[in-house]
Formats: sequence, C-alpha cells, structure tokens
Amino acid sequence: MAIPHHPTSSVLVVGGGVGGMRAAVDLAEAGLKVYLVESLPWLGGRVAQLGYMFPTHDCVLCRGTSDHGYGCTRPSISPAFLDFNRHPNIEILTNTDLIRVEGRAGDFTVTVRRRPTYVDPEKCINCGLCTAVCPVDMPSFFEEELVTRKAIYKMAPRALPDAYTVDKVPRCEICRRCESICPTGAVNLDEEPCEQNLNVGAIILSMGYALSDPEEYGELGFGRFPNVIHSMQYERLASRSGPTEGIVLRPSDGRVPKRIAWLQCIGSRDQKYPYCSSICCMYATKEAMIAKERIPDVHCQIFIMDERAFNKEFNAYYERAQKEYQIEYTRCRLSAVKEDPQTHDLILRYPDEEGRMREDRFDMVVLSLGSRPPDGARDLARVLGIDLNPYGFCETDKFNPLETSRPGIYVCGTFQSPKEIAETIIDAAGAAGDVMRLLREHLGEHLSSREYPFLWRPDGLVPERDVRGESPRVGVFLCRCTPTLDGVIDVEEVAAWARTQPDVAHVQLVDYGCFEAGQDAIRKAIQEHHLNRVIVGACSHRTHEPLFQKVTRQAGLNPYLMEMVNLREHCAWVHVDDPAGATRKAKEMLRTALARVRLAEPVYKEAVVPEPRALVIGGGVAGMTAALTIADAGYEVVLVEREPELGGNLRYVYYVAEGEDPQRLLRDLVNRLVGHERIRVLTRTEVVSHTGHVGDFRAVLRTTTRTGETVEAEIRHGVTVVATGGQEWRGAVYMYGRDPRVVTSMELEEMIVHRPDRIAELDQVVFIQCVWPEGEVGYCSRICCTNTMKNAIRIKMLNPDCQVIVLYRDIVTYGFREAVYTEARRRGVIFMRYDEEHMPTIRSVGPQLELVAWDPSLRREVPFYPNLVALSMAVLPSEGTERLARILDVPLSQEGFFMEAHLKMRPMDFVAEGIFVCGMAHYPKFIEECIANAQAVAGRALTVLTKDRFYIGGVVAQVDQSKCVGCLTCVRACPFGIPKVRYTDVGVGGIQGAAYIDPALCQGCGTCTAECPAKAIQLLAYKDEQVLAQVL
Amino acid sequence: MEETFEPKILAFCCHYCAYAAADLAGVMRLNYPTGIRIVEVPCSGRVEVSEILRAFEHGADGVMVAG
Repeated sequence: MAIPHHPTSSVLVVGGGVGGMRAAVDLAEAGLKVYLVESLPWLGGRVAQLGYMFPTHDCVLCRGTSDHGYGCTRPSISPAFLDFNRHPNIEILTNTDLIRVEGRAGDFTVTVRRRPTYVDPEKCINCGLCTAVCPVDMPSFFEEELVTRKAIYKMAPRALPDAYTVDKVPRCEICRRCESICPTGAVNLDEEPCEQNLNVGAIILSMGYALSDPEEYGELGFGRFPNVIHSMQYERLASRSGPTEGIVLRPSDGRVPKRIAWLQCIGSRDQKYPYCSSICCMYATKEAMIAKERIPDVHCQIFIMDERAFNKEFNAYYERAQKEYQIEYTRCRLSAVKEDPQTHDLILRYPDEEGRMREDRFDMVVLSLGSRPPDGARDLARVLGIDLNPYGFCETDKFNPLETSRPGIYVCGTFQSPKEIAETIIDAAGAAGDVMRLLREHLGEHLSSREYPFLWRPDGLVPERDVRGESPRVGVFLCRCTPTLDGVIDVEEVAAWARTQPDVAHVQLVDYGCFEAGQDAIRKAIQEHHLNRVIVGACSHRTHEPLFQKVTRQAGLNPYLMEMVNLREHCAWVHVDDPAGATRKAKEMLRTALARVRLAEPVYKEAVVPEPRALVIGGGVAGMTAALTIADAGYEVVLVEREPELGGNLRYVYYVAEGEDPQRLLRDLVNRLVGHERIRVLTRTEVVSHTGHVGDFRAVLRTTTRTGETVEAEIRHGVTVVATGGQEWRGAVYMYGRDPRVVTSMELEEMIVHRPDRIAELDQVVFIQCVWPEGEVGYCSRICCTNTMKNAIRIKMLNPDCQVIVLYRDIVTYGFREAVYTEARRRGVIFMRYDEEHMPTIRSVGPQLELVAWDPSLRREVPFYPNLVALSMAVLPSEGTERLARILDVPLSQEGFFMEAHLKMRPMDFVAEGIFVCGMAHYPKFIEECIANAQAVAGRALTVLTKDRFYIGGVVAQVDQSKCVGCLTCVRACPFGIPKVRYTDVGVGGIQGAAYIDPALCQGCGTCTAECPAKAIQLLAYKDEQVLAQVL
Repeated sequence: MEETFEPKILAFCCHYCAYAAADLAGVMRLNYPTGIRIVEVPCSGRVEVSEILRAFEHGADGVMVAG
C-alpha cells in the first residue's frame, strides 16, 4: 500500500558527510522524506578520511569504511546507511550536483544532475576484477595523492554505495576491459548524465570544507621538499586503511621518522585568512599522540601560536599529550623551512624559551592546514540565492545560527564556520529541528518502523509463523557470488557435505543471494520446504545481515532464526591462495553455524506509544529555544524553571562581541514562550523525581508558591530535555570579595552598561584569564576570551586613554571570533602570557592594588597598579547539577557537566534514550551555540514524539530473577549503568531484592551476562549455549 | 618429519570493531592462515572465561579476544 503524502513533506540535504547524514537520519526518523545529495560518488565526506578522532581516539575504521556507524554506541548514524539497511525515507543521490533552485520555503523545486558512475551499484558485487585489469593509473584524491588508483576504483575498501566507479578518461572508450570482465554486467561505459527535479519543502546545506592550499606558503617547502607533508596526508598515513596501513614513513626514503614537527595555523590566523580554523590544535595533538604510540622514541614537537583546546575533555587531552606523551609545544610561528638536500632532513630555526635562536633538524614536517569554504561555494551560493560572509563561508544570523539568508534554506557544519565533528553533529540535528518546525504539518507523514532490526515500512508483511515445538528443519543457502566465492571455495563440495548434516532439510546454491532473483529463491525455498531455520553462507553480518533477515521475515520466519556465515570476507577473500584450506574452513564455519542455528529462538521487541509531551528542565536561552521548537512543531511542552523569572544567564548579557542585542532576544523568547498555546511554564519549580523510559516518563514537579508553600504535581511525558545551564564561579581568589576593585567578567559587563561614568575614570584595567578553583579539573570555559575582548574593546571605546592589559594562558577566540582579538589588539589592548610557573599575584599596597605579572619577553616580573581588575572566572555547572543527575539517573563528566552518550557522535543524547542535554548544562558555550544545541535536542526529541509507536528491547539482556542473589555484580559490570537491584523484586529462594534490566535502556553488549556468577542473565540471540555452540 | 604445525586459533570479535577489521582484512585481500576462526560477539565484554577454556578444551592452540 502506497502512503499518500504531500510532495513537500520532503527535504533536500546537500552534502553526504557526517553532518548531512546526521540531518538526514533525524528528518527521516521524524517521518519526512529526505533526498541526500552528494557530489562525490560516495558518502562519508572528510570524516571518511580520518583514521582516528580526537580526543577519544575512537577508531574511525568502521567509519572510514563507512560500512557501519560511529562506534559501539547505538543507535547512531550509519546503521541507517548500511547498503541493505537503508532508511526507507532516505534516497541517496551520489555523484550529483545542484543545478537550479526555484520556489520558496515550504515549496522548492530543485533540479539536480547526476553524473554517471558507469557502474550499477545494484549489480556490483565488489569482486575487484575490473580494477585488476584497468590499465589507467591516476592520483588518488582520497589518499591525498600519496598513491595512485585505477580509473575504475573505490574511494575506500568499504564505501557507500559499496560499488566501484569509473573516473572516465578518453582511453576508457577504447579499452573497455572492465566492461567485458565484469561477471554481473554492472559496468556500462555509455551511461549518460541525467537530470531530475525534486519537490522539497526545505533545504539543508552541509557541504563541509576544503583544505587550505599548502602551496600558497612556498616558504614552508610543501611541494619542493618531499618530507614536508600536510596534515590530511598524515591522517591517511596514520590510518590503518591508508596507503601504508598505518605506518607513517618518510616519503623521501621510506624510513620511519624519529623527529616530527607540526607547524600550526597554515592558512589560518594570518593576513589573508584572518580566522581560526578551530580544529587544527586538536588534530595535531592527536596526530602527535598517535606517532608516540606507534614509533618508539619519536620526538614530536608542535609549533603553536595558542593552544585552543576549548571543548569538552580537550584540555585534559592536551595535558595528557604534554605530561604522558612528552609532546613538546613550542610557541612560535615559523616563517621558513629549510632542507638538507643530501638527507632530505628539514631544518627549523626558532627562538627557545630563553629567547635564543636555535636550529633543529627534523625527519618530517607536517603542515596543519586550516579550513576553507567548500569548493564551488560561490557558484552554489548563486544557485541557491544565499549570502556568504566575508570569508566565503555561509552567512548566518547570530541568534539564528542555522538559517541562511534565504528562508527555508538551512546550514550546518563547517560550511557555516570551521568546527569539529561534535559541533557539526549538533548543528546538523539543529538544522533538522529547524526544518521540522517549518514542515510541522508533514511530520510523521512517512512512517517507518523499527520493529525488526532492519528498517521497514509498516506494511506488506505476512504473519510470522510460530515455530515453537517444531524440530529444526534447517535450510542452507550457499551463495556462489561468482567468482568471489566459487572461485576459491569448492561450493559444490560444501553443499554436498551440508546435505549429510543432521537437521538439514534443504541445501541450495544461489548465484547471487543479494540480487532480487536470489532473494526470491530463498523466500520460495523457505516456504516450500517448510523450513524453520535458515543459514545463508555468503558475506558479512555487517553488510548483508539486515537484508537476509528481511528476506527471512518476508518468508514468514522471525529474522533471528537466520544465521549468516561469512564465507566471503572471512574465508574466500583471505584464503585466495589456499582453495583446499578455504573449502575445509567453509565446512567448519558451516558446522558451527548449524550448531548455533539449531538453538536459535525468535526475538521480539515491545511496542511503545509515545506520550506526545516534552519536559524541558531549565528556562534559559537553551531551554526556552528547545521548548519553542518542540511546541512550534505541534507538541505540548512543560518547561520548569526554579528561579522566579525566565532567562537564566541571558538576563545578564547586555551585548555580544558581534554587536547584536541579547536583551531583545531574551524579550522575544520570553514573550513567545509565555504566550504559546502548547507551552506550560512553571517557574519556582524543580523536578524531584523522574522515572520510566523513552516515550513513557513520569516526573514529579515541586513548585514553591510566592507564600512559601510547596505544591507537587506529576506529569507524564515522552521525552526530557536537560537545559539547566552553567554559572560563573565566584571564588575568593586574587582578592575577589575583599577589594571592590576586583570584579568578575559578568560584574564588569554590568558596570560597563550601567556605570559608564566609572569606566571613563579608569586609567588602567587588568584582565586575568583562566581563573580557576584550585585543585579542580581544569578545562577551558570557552567563552571568557571572547567576553574579555568584547569588554576590553568597550572600555577602549568609552575611554581610549585607559590602558588595558590582558594576562592570559592561551587566547581562545576560535572561528571567526579571531576578528575581535585582532580588533582588541588594533585598539591597543596589551596581551601578556603567563603560565603555571609564573602566576600573577595581587595585594594591596596602601590604597593601591599591586598586581605583579611575569613578562615573558623581558623575562622579569612587572608590577601594575590598576584601578580595576577583571577576573575571567571559570564557568561551572549550575548549582544542583549533581542532584538532578541522580534524579534523572544520568552520568556527569569529570568536569561536572552532564555526560553525553558519545563525546563526538552523540553530543546531545544521553545513553538513556529519550533524555537529551543542551546548552551550558553540556559544556560552556556561546548564545548561538546554545541555540543550535537547543534546536538539536528539539529535533532529536521530535524524532521520538512524531512516531505513532516505536520499539524497545530486541537483543537485550534478560534477568531470570529466580536465580538472582542480588549480588550487584551486574550493576558494577555494566558500562552504561543500566541494571538495578530492586527491593520490590524477588530473587532466588524468595529473598527480597533482585536485578532488573530495563529493555528500553539496555545497550545489548552482554557484559553483565558474562560476569553474572549465578548465570541468571542471558543476552537474547547470544545466550550461553548459542555462543558455546560456536566454540565447539 | 617436516614441520607442518598450523595452530588453531579462535578469535572472539566485537561486532562493531574487530569483526569489522576482519572484514576489512578480507576487502583488502590480506592473507592469513585457514586455522583462524572468528566468532562474532556483540561486545568483547560478552566473552566468558568458561568460553575461552572451552575453546582450549576442544583443541584450540590460541584464543584471541578482540574488541
């Protein structure tokens, strides 16, 4: 049955990198149709090139190969992008360009042109014969031209779509060897480009960024000296799927380098490109750490201007790099690289800490390239009718950070400004949230279901057959995958052997199991032979299990009654030279699969109808924005704020560095919020209990009335948003609280706005950055440097003769905020760096304040006698964060902020589904970042609220309470903190207290089942006997 | 007598990483001996000591838990 829908319930997402994929998945989950357009032949974008992410060092192997998602945290992005597990609402158009955009928000007509790839991805089986016969060598852009590839090629060993592509050159016309050798006839060199019109309601731009051109900096030797490489080349060398399989070698002689230097800010923070690229400090640190891990005794030296470790856990990472890894950071911007022509060693001259010039030799120099606007951004901006900023990135409004200048077109990720993966993910989900608000009438129009492990439309399935009590009748289907499998393994012999095995009712060879004909054959045989267990001997669980589970289910069997045997990746492909051994091993693999499939049991999920209401905790800019986005999209919101007034910290922000008026934003938000028909605002209210799971939460809210009485009320809701914000630390340091001339940054802002007369009287102001509670975990509070710039500039504007001195550790004005740092310097603000060994001190000398600071250039202490000292105090989590974390049963990070499910890939989710975090509750951030973050959680919340039902459970751990002694082992072992010992439950021998694992929360790792001493816990589909069966 | 010992090795591989790495070995057409067999687990945390011992009991020369 076709689902009727309005054509403009569709969204176009431009760019198939990590941001575009995130936005597409969220929109698809909210029941909108998505066209995901990518100009390259494969999805993945920049992230696909990275071997590792900072600061988690998560292997991006699975990401780079893009056959799966983003780490072990499920459900993340790319399970929805597995070739055979694609979200039914997402249509992927690769190798496709945007040609024309007409219409307006809610109703665009977009013309796209698809350039031919000359290979039909539906028919390509990745056998690789074509590339083996191709005579044309070309530089590989994916490997950053470190190696060559053929004209018919794949970007990476695993790509999406997982198929080859021809980069057609004139020689291909006459050669055509790939066409004739292809066993499935997938290659067609005569394929023509085609145009297509798409009717969409909104457009999201996620076009990523280009790298700076290292050849613009000829003095650094790139292109002239072989051992000067750029950072993305280093990433490829360090990647396990890269040209050297992860071993970094000197290009000139293939030796392992013993001394590597990184030069920062190449194409950033200079005259031509005056902005900061935001990511290079961290990726250089990561690259150096990886070098240290892999090469014994390697010396890594990073030449920096400022270290900008301004995101969650980045500072701890930076410290680890210095203390544990002994990576040397040198503050110097080098102007030249010289080479010893004999050895190709590189010679760097720079001043040491004492100011003396020294000369050092390095085996390799890595240029840390900055970000440029994506290639073709200007043309595309013209096609789209959107404005670009002076740097060529997408222009956005400060308080509408994800909207372009044209209504209905949104932007996310690095096309908006340079940023890292986590922020791109936040932006992408936020842009999706914005679109959901725009297309609210169409939310949920394209329903999909997660009842089965593959994504499925809720129609057209035959009823499932109950196989309980039947003795096993196993059907074995062996894929020939000519020539991939039958070219190595003697599949006929394996089939003959299989027929002799107990419980095997049917054995069949299929040519290509994944092709339509193969699927048909399997479905037909399951029904004809009345099979109740299925084995598919073909390829990987990771690529094809969802497909064959679907086939099994379509034939009327539970998908978990199917077992895959990976004869391709784990047998034929790795034993090409040993066909006899491969055939023997194939039988062994089949034998264990048989043992396991005999024990297979159906696995079911539980349906939940979500309560269409959101609870938002916190009424600052983040909470208010999240509430408005959810309510505008059509769902009820209860917003609680413990203060009598809404606004949070925004109430005390009077101006911003870029010039907009935050007080107007505050009034707008409050007015819209209190007048909204779907929002209930409860001030003087706190959450005192919170139970349940995604879709079905209950919370008790305690309101203190004006007369001091407390009233409690219970609400039921489907999702919870945590937006409890942060606070400026007010510690008694640097005479703060003892001398009225020492103020905090927020107090200074009050003074500038309300007492400009006092500013006019000042002769000297000293700012001290990074003021931190002693003994606490240090982290960068991110907003202070820019705040100091804005206040310093204001002081200079009000009182140009006032001397303004900033004592800092590192200036962190990332992205386009670098402009305010430049402006402050232009206005004569003096910057002096201090470090741990030379902390500033302050005391009163008679009526004066004496501040002594170390001047690193003079190498001596300098006294100041300021009229005012402004302290950039740390931003801490707000009061009561720990208590709320306990109530919600969610974890805190080591800095004390709420801890997200995954630092990079799921920055706005908790592991507990249905609870989201945004704003300063997550980490200190700017207003515009809080807004993007709030829209992101609203979008994520809407993916739950828009569903008619969703499914929990599946492959999760189950406790047999009659065996449970309540020993707490599972509680301690679970990496996600899911098991609870509930006193109300009864354990072994009728004792009160037994473990309970909520199927809505369990992540399905099975750690508890391995640890449980009483064997009371079993993981479905991986029960003890099922795993043991494979060990035999 | 000629030395022909080929160890039997059982590898428990996490679905999300090590199993994917083993897949990639295949996709990159790397070679390893046929004596290595892979058991897919949802997480290396799922592997129990008794399962490892069982493998040795049944003649494995080595067990690898990768995740």
